[in-house]
Amino acid sequence: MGIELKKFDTRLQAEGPEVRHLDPAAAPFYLPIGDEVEIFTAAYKARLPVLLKGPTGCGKTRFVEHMAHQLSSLPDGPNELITVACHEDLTGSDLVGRFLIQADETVWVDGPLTQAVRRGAICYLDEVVEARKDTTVLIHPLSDHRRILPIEKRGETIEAHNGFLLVISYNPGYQSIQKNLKHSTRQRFVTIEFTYPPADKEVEIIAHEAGVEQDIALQLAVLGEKVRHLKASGLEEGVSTRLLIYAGELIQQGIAPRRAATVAVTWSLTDEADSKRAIDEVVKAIFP
Amino acid sequence: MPEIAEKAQDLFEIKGVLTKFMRMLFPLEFRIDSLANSGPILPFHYPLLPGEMIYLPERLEPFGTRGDAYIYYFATTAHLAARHDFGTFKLKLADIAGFEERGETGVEAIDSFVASFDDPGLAGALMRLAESARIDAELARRYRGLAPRIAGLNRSLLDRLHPESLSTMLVRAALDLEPAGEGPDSPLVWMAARHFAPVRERGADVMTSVRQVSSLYNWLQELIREARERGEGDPLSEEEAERMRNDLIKGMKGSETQTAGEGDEGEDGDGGGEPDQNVKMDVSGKQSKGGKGRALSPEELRKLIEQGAELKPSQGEGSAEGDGMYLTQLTGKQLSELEQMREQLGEVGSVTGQGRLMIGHGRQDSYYAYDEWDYVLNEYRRNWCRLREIPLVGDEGDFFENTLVRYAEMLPGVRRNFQRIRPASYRMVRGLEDGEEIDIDRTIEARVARLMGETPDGRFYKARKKEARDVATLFLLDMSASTDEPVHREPRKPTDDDDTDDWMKAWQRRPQTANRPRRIIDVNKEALVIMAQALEEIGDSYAIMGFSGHGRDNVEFYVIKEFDQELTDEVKARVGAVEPKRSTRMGAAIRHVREKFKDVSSRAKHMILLSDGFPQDFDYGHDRRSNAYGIQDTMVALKELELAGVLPFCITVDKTGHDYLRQMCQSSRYLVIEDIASLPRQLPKIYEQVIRW
Repeated sequence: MGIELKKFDTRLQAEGPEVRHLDPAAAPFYLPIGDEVEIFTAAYKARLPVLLKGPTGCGKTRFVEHMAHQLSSLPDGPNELITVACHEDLTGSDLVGRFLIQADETVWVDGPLTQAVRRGAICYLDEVVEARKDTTVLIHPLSDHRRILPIEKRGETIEAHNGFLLVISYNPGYQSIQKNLKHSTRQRFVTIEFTYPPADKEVEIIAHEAGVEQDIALQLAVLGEKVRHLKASGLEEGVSTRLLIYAGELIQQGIAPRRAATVAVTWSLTDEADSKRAIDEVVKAIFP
Repeated sequence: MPEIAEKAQDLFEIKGVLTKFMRMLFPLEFRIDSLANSGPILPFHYPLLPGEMIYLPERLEPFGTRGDAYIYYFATTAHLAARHDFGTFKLKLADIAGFEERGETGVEAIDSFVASFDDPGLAGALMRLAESARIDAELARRYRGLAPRIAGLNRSLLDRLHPESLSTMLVRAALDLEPAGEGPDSPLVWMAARHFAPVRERGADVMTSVRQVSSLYNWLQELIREARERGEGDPLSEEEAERMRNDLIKGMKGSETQTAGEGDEGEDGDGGGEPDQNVKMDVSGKQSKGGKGRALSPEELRKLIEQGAELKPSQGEGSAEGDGMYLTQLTGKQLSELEQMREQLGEVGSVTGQGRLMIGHGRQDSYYAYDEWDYVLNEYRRNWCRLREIPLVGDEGDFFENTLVRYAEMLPGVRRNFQRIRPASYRMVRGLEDGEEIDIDRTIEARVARLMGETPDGRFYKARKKEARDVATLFLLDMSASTDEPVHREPRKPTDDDDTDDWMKAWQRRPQTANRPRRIIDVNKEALVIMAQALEEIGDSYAIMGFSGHGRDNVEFYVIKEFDQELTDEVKARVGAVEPKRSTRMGAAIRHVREKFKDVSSRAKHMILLSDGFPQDFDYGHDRRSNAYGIQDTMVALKELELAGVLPFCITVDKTGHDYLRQMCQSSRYLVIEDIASLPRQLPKIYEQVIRW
């Protein structure tokens, strides 16, 4: 096709995709909460795009990584995982690619989405609503039966590689109302909803990830559960499993539990004086 | 605890923290209120009553070890809230042997159980003590950080009771605190501790307490009987036993702290054993089922705790004795209040529907319930206001047309101005180091520079920057009775801020109506007419709504134009039909505006509030003369609106507006218009300046 791929473009590296080469043996730890593994596998086999919905730090990205590695063992499984963290200035060109001037020539550089489509990767667009509206134009033909990606600037339309799958994520909690996912977009996806794991699973996850004793993991999970109650009284987001794991890791490094919980949970969650004090009182109540 | 300085602790300082603390531990809707003139109360002194209110002393002087006053609030709050979480009120009477046929549950079951003893006072005290022990133990198990605090606190509090009294010994045994010293009572404490041990075990529930209360009661009665038989000379004399019994009952009154030097006055807190002469209240299940009786209201509960009243079940012996006060006597006054509450919480269908008939549109009005911020409680009053959306029946459309005629000369200027601010939706930005496309001109320049041996400028990309105007503005009109005031226009003197544009001349040459004086509301409406014309020009999405009402049950919200409605003749007619109504309960109206914005997807959202005075309503706050409640509620409602992504702007024609608007919003978010009549001229300008997109 005469495509010249320049590998050392600094700009693309700065904001570019994160490519993971897959190996089922290297799949990161993921503890299934419900039937999400089965659903995702089925969706992949049917090549149905997937929307992962849930609050921050509840395991969406980890889940995609885990699944991509697992599915790569299928004969027609994905070849890579390409993750793009979407932000407000992310345009269609950032995803599809653009012409760049390099020395004396103008070269086309594939964007992450194009790379995924060509190479049969799972393309994970994290927090997709953050991206500019023109990106949805690209997503639509890829996420229905057509599975094509039109590249307007090159006058080219590429058909997706058999291994390709589009996965997007979205956090309904903290996005402003203006940034809701449009129905024309969301109704193209199979949706898997994530919440914070139930207490017993969360204990297991914290214990595994942070390497702490069951007892500490339990206390951290209780702290998580209690702090999440505060969401009704003004906290924007409940404490993520990720933060609880951080606290666990600090404890594992020898930081006193109360202190670890304060720096990893209380201060990360809120700046509001009353909430901070209240969360700290809960920390003191839970950790002796 | 070393982190807290040893000083008196005021409840109000930590109320917010406490509430959040409690809601995290126990996800129930509790509220905290203060008790005047009260020292620290041991949790077991609190009556076993469910309810969302938790009463805590208003202020605590330092006691016990360092920081105990501060810890007291957290530990006590946790204890009282934990009663709900740990199943104290889940007791089913039918589970208790001998009561299989009874249907009472919760607090009624506790009352009936306690009432079945010969001495309900003693049984009640034992029940509270057992539950207190159970909850403390469970709290300590679940919250290991809380355990030492609870133990330390209980110790400090017990030091304030008569150390030699038998009841103190019993409390010590129940709460698993080692006795003060070796004495003749120690075997007794040891025995008592054995009775209390099961409730402190893992897995104990309220039924365990029930069982242990029965055995404790029998054991104590046996002791008392034995003492009587043996007569004097025995350390556990009859007098002693009687005193213990009375001490225990008295314990719940929370007035023993008096001996520790608190300024608790008017209570019979001498620690003696005389029979109880305090207020008694009837809380029996039988009464409740009778229809008239009911659960205690928060106010009554507070009164009870403050007065140190004994909650005595009526089924017990002697309940009718003494000059006690009964709940049935209390109910009369509050019955109407209760009715009102039921009406408010009840379904729409249960509300008298006169309003609907007046409207005559044949459709059901929709009701909305909104919280209201009570700055005294530092807490929302949940579902406090009921708001009704009322469709306006329009006039003949005369007002709108007349206004257009009246301001005919001014309108083109306004339109022109608004056309000017309508931007292109995308703007190409050139000279970027990074962008969507290559800018050919700059690339060539760079290429030339390079060939000439110069350092080329690397900024040869371009990108499209979104500049679309995507604004939605809601105009909220105060339709209170005060807008009926005529506008007294003094002859105009040129002032500094008078600009001499066309609008001004047009304004001065405007035709004057002779028939009736123009009122504030008329000027507001005119301003909205001009605004609507201008906005049609610019294409911004806008809505016009008004509000008034009378009382918290009756907040009225008039929809003149929704966002998705066109400026039809019908809408124009509705603008004309806006008339002054009643009060100004701003908070609820603003909260409804927030609802109205829920389905609006514009990037920038604004609300412009046109008012003529401070928020007020006959029941907007505890004190009608003070407007602080309304102002605080409005302030919070405005903040909520901002949090929802809607930027509010307040315009008032009240010259004293600075005084309260300053409290309600930032100085850049409000404007006081001195010359009321100039509003139609000024509003489009204000809009231009205020609206960000």
